[in-house]
Amino acid sequence: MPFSMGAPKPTSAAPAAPSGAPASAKPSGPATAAAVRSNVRIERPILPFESVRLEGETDARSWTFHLTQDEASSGATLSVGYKNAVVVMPEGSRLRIAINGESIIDTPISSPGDIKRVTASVRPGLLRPGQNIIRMEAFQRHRTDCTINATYELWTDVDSASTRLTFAEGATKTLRSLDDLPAVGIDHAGMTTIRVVAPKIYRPEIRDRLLRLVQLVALRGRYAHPVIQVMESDPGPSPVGTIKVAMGLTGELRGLVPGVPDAASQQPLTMMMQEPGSTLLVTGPTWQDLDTAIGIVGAHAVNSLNVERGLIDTASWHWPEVPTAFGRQSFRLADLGVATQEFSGRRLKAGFAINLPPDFYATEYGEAVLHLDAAYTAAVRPGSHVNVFVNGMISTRMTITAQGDIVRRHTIRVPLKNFKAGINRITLEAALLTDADERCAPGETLSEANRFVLFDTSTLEFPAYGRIGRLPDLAVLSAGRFPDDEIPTTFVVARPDSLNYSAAGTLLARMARTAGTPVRAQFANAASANDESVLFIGAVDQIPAGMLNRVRVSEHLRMIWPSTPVAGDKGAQQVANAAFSLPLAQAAPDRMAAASTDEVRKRWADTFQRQGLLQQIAGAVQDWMEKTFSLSLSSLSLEERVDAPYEPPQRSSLLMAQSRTETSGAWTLVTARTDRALAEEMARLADPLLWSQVAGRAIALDPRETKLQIEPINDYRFVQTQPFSLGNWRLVAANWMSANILQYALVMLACCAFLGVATYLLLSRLGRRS
Amino acid sequence: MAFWAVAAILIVSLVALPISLQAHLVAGLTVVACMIILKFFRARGVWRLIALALGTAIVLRYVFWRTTSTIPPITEVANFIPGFLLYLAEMYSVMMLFLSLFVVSSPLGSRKAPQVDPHNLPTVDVFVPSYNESAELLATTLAAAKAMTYPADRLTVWLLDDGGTDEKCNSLNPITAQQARERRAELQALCASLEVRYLTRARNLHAKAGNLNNGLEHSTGDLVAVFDADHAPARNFLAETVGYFITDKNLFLVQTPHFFINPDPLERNLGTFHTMPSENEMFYGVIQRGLDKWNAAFFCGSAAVLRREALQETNGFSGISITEDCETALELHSRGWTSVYVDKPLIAGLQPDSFASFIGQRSRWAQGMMQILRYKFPPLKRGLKLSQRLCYMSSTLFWLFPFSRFCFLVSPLCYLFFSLEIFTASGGEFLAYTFTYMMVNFMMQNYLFGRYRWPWISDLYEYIQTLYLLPAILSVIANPSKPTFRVTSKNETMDQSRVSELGKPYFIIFGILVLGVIATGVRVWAEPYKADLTLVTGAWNILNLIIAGCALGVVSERATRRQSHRVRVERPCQFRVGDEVVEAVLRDVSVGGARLHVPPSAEPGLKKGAAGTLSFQPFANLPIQHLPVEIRKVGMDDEGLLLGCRFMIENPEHRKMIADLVFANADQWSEFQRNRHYDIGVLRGTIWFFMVAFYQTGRGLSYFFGLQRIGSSLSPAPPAAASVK
Repeated sequence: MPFSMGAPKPTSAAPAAPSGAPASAKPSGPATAAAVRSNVRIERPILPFESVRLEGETDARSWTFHLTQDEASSGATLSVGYKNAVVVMPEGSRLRIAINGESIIDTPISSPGDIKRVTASVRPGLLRPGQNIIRMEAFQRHRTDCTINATYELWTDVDSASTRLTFAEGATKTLRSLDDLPAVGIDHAGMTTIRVVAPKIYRPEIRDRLLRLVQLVALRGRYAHPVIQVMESDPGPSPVGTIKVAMGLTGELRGLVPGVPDAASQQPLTMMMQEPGSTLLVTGPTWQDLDTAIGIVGAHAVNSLNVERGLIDTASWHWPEVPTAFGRQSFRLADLGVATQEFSGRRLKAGFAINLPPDFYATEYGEAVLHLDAAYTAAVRPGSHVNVFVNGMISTRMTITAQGDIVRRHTIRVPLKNFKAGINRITLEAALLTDADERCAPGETLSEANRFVLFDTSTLEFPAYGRIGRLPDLAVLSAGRFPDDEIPTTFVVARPDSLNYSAAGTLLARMARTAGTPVRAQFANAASANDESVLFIGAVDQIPAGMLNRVRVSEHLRMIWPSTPVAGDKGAQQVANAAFSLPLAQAAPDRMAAASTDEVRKRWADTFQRQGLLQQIAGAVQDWMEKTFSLSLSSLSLEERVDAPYEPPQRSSLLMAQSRTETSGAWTLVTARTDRALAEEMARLADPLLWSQVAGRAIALDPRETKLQIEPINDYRFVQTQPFSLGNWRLVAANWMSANILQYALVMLACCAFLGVATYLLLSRLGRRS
Repeated sequence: MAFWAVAAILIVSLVALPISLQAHLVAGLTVVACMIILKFFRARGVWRLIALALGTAIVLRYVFWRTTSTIPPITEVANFIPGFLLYLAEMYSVMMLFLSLFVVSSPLGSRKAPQVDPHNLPTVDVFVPSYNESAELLATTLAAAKAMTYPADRLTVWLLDDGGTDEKCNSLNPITAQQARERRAELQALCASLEVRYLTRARNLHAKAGNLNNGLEHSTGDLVAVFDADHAPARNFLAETVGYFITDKNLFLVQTPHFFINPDPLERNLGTFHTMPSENEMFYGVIQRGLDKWNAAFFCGSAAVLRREALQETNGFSGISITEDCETALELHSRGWTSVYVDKPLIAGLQPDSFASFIGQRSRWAQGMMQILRYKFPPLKRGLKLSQRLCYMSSTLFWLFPFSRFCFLVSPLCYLFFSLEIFTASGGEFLAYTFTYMMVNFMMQNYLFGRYRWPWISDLYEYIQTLYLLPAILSVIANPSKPTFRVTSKNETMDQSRVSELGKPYFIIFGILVLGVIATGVRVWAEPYKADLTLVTGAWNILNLIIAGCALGVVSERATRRQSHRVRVERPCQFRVGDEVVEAVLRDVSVGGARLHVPPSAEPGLKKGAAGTLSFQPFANLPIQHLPVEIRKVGMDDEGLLLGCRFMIENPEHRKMIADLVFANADQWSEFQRNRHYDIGVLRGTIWFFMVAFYQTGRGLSYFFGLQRIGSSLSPAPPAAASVK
C-alpha cells in the first residue's frame, strides 16, 4: 500500500458516493466519528488459542495476525506472559518470539512459579498492514535428567490474557474498510465474535440473508475461530475481538442502529461505520438491494485459486497454510514450515499439517512415503529411532542402525491408517540415545554439541489413493461440505430465534471457513418430504419426534439430557478449559496411550504370565505377531455391519450425528440440551483444532475438555465424488478389501475357482488330448 | 479362450490391488488351507487346476508386492544392485514356475501302442554309439538290442565306435594308438559274434552327432533307434514304439524314458535309491508327458526311435551344440514334424556313479542348453507354435538356475555380514508374504510333481550343481563355441569311502553359512532393535545351511561293493551241480551274476566256490539254454538257501542269455519305479528332509575329518532312510 508511515490520517477516499453505483467497500462515513477517539492505549490479544503450550526440548508455533494500516504504522510493544515447568533449566532454555522473521523476544525460560511477563518494543516498520507472521519457539532443557522420558516433563505455557500487542497512543482501532475485517482480531480465548444485529429475525427473508452474510463475513475476515451471535437489538460497544454487523432493510434498521447514512435509503450500502467499536453496516432499501449489499461483502471473500489448489486458509492459527494432498503429490518439509534444524538434545520434534479431501478413502492399505534427509553423529547410538506420529498416533518407526551417517532420501513408509479427511497433524520425533546421556554427568543437558540434523529438503510423498465419499461421514461436514454435492441440502433451523440462528450461524461460518467457500444449502424452518438431504439444528426438545432415531441415535437422549443438567457451571468450565490446552492433547502421544485399559490389562497379565524364559519368548512372539499384523477376529467378519443406535455419554454437551437415508440423501442432526447450550457449545466446537477432529457418524462434545467422542462409521454407502476411472476404482476396491478381509479371501477363492475351471476347459481344447 | 481371458483378468486385477498386510495374510492362509484341503481329496482334473490357480494367485501377489514395495531405492547403490539381482533371481524362479505350470498343466496319460501289421513293418537301424565303454558293457547292450522282438531281416544293429577311429589308431601317441587298435579289434570280434555291424570312421568330428551321422550315411533303414552304450533295451522296445510311425506320417521321434538301474551319487550317498523317486523321474514321469501334450517332447540322446526321412531334412543330427539331441528335436519341431513320448521304461541304463562324473554330465547339459539358447533362441525360433516355444523356453532356461540359486545363497549373508538391506520390508511383511509364498510354492510343486519329486530335493540337486555349473555357464556365455562334448563316464567303481575330489567348496560354503548363523546370534544380541529382521534373515540362512549340510553328505562318497546292479525278477530255473538238478527260483539278476532261492531240501553240495550250470526258458529263441555259474555266497532264510552266483561267460551266446534274464521284461522296471512313486507330502517330506540333512551333515563332516575309516567296519545304515519305510 502506498501509504506513508506516520500519524494516522483520514482516509483519502471521499465520503460515500452520493449516487450511482452501490456504495463501495472503500472506507467511508463521517470523518468526525473517527476523530472522536479516546486516547487510551490499545491492546490486542494475539494468541489464537486460550493457551499455547510449548512442549519438549524444542517446540514452535507459528500463525499470523492482521493489522490495519493505522495499527501497523503506530509504535507497538509485544508483551508475553508465560509459565513453565519447574524442571526446565533456565540456563539452557530460551523462549523466542519473532514477528515477520525478526526476533523480538529472546529470553531464558525462568518462571516456574507464576506467570512472568516479558515486554519488548517492536521496531518501527517491522509490522505491516495486513498479514503479519508471528512465531514462538521454545528451547528447553531438563535441569537434571538426561533421559528421553524426562523431555516430556518440559513445558512452557504462554498465557493468552497477558500476551498481546500494545499500540502506542494515538493509534486507532477503527476499521476503515471491508479489507480491514481480518484486523478485528481475537479475544483472549482466540475467538472472533461476529455479532449480528438484525430486525425481526423470525422472517425467512432475514434468516436466509443473515445465515449467508455471516459466512461471508467469516470468510472475508479469515478468522480462526468465528463465533456468531445474533441479536435483535443493539448491544452497545463491542468488546475486543468482536465485530458488530448490522443487517436489514434500511427502514427497519434505522430504529435499531444509530447513524445509518441516508444513502442507504436509495441504494444498497455496505460500509464500516467509523464510530468506536467498528460496525459493519449491510443494508439496502429493498430485499434485492440487501442481497446486493451482502454480495459486496462476499466480493473478495473467496480466494478461488487457493480453494482450487486445496490450500486451507489456516493462517490465523497455523502458519504456513495447510496444503491438500489430492493424490500423488510430494511436499517438501520446507514448504510445510519445517526448517532445517540442528539439534543437541534428546528428542527432536518437528510438526506439520496436511489436509486431505473429504473423499479420502485409503486408511486401510495406503502408505505415504517420507523421504528423510538427515544426519547424525557417531555419538547417537544405534537403536535410536525416528518416530512418525499422525494425529497423535504412532504410525511408523525408523530405527537408526548405523554409527553416524548422513542419509539422503531415506525411505520411511508411513501407513495412512491414522490419516483422515481434513487437516492431519504429522509429527516427526527423533529420539536420540547417547552414551553421554546414559552417564548424565552434571550439566550434561547443557551440552551444545549437535547430534542430529533434520534437513528441510525431506519430503513427504503421498501416493495416489482411493477417493470416494461415504455416507454418513461427518468428516465431510468438517471439511465444510455435504456428503453429496449433487443433492442440495436443506438446512433446518428448529426455531427462528436468535440462539438457534447463532448456533446455525457458527456452524455455517465454521464450515465456510474450512471449505474456503460459503456452504451450499437452502434454509428452512422445517423439513419437507421432498428434501433428500437435511441438516437439522436445534435443542433436543425442539427437534421433531423420531429425529434421533433417524440419525441412529438412541431416543433415550431425550430423557437423559434433561435429567442430567449441564455439568458444572460456566465458571468451573472455564477453569477446566484454562487448565487444558489443546496442543497438549497432541503433544505426548505415547504418554496418553500409556493409561489405556489394554495397556493396564497387559501389564497385569504380564506379572502373572512372564515367569519362565520359554514363556517369555512365547509371549514376545505373540506380542510381536499382534503388533505386526494387528489382526483381530472382528476384522474377519462377514456380517453386514449395522449401526446400533448411538448412546452419547450422559455428560456430553453437544451431539452431532449423521445417517444415510434409504434413497440417496443424508440426515444430519446437531443438537444440545437447550438452545442456549447449543449456541455456546457450537461456539466451542468451532475451535479450529477441535473442529478438524469431527469425523465418524456421530460425535459428542465433552462439556469440560476440548475433546470429542467419535462414533465410527460401520454402515455406509459410497458416494461417487470423482469421475469414474479404473485407477480410482482399483484403489477404492483395495481399501474396501483391506477393510473386509474375509470378503477379499472369498472373492479370491471364487476367482481362482473360476480360473481353474476356465483353464480346464481351455486345456481340453488345446494341445493333444489325453 | 475369451472365458479364460476374463478369468485371468479378474485374477490379475484382484492380485494387483494394493491391499493391506493383514488382508494378504488372511487371504494367503485361506488359499494355503484350501490347497491343503484339496490335497486331502487327491485333487485331479479340474480340482487340481483350481488348486494351481489358487497357488498362482498367491505367487502373483508375492510378485506384485515384491515389485512394488521391496526393491531398495536406486539412490542406495550398495543395496540396490544386490537387491535388484535378488529380485531378478526371484522373478526368474517365478517365471520358471509359470513355464512349468504351462508345460505340465495336464500331462498326457499313458499311451497305448498302435497295433501294427507284422508283415508291413519298416526297417530299423539300431545305433549304439560308443566312445570308450568297455567291451563288457557293450556286449550287454548289443545283446539286448539284438534280442528285441522284431523280424530279424528288418532289424540291423550297429555299433558306432568312436574309440577306434582311424584318427585314433594312427595317433601320434603310441599308447593311445595301441589302445585304439586293440579296442577296434576286440569290438570287431564282439560284433561278429553277436551278428552286429561294427562301424567306425576316419576322424572324430562333431562328437556324438558326427558319429550318429556317420551311421546314417552307412545305413538305409526307415527308422533309426539310438541307444547309449550303457542303455540296454527291453525286448518289447520296438513293439512299443514303431507303431506310432506307421499311424503318423509326420512323426519324427518316439522318445522313451531313461530308466537307471544304479543310483546317482546323491541317491547312493544319501541311501534313498530304493525309497525316493529318482531325479530324472520328474523329467520323464511328468515333464516329458507335459511336453507331449504340446507336441514338444524332445529327443534325449538315447532310448528313442527317429525317422530317417526327417533326419535327412536337417542333414542328420545337428551338432552346433553339445546337446545334439535337444537341438535336433528343436530343429525338426520347427519344421513341422511331430514327436511322441511313451511313458514306459523300455531301456535300463547306468548313470554316473561318482559325484565328479555327475557334475561333468550336468555341465554338459547346462552348457549345451546355453548354446541352444544362444544359437537357436527357442522363443523366437520360426516355425514353432507358441506352445512349443514356451516348452523349449522352459527346458533351456531351466539351466539358468545356478544364478538364482547363487543369489538365494548369498543374499542373507549380505545382510548378516555386511548389513546390506537388499530387501526393504519389515520383519512382519517379510514373514507374511514370503511365508505364504513359500508355502504355496511347495504346495504347487507338490501338486505338479508330488509323486515324482519330494520337497526340498529339487533344492538340494540345484544347490549341489550350482557350485560347478555357475562357472561352466559363465564360460559358455563368454565363449559359446568353446565347450566340447565329453563322454560321461559310467560304471565306475567306488571301492573306498572318501570325500569327492570336487567336495572341498561345499565344506567351505558350509563353514561360511555357519559363520552366518553365528553372525545372526551376535546381531540379535548386539542390535536388539532390529532383531526381527535379523531373525527372519537368519532363518533364511539356516534353510540354506540345512541344504548345504545335506550336500556335504552328497559329496562324501560311500563305498559300494556291488559292481553291477541288480534287477529283481521271479523266474523259475534249474540249477545243476554235477549231476544234481535242483529246482530253484531266480530272485535277482545283474549282468554279473544272479541270486537263486533253493528249497531247503536241496543238495548239501551247494557251497561256496562250487561251479554249476543254470538253465531256464529264455523269452527269445536262443540256441543254448545253459549258463555256467560259480557259487560265491551261500545264505539262509526261513524257506531255504540263497545262493549268490557269478556268471562265467564263455561265449557270446551266454551274453544273450544274460540279456534275456536282465532286460527281458520292462514291466519289472515300471514296477520298481512305481514302488518309489509315492507322494510323501509337504510336511512329512520336510521333516524327512531335515532329518536326512541332519544326519548327512554329520556324515559329511566326519568324512571331512577322516573319521569314516575308523568306523568303516561297521556298516553305515542311514537311519533316515529306514524311517521312511
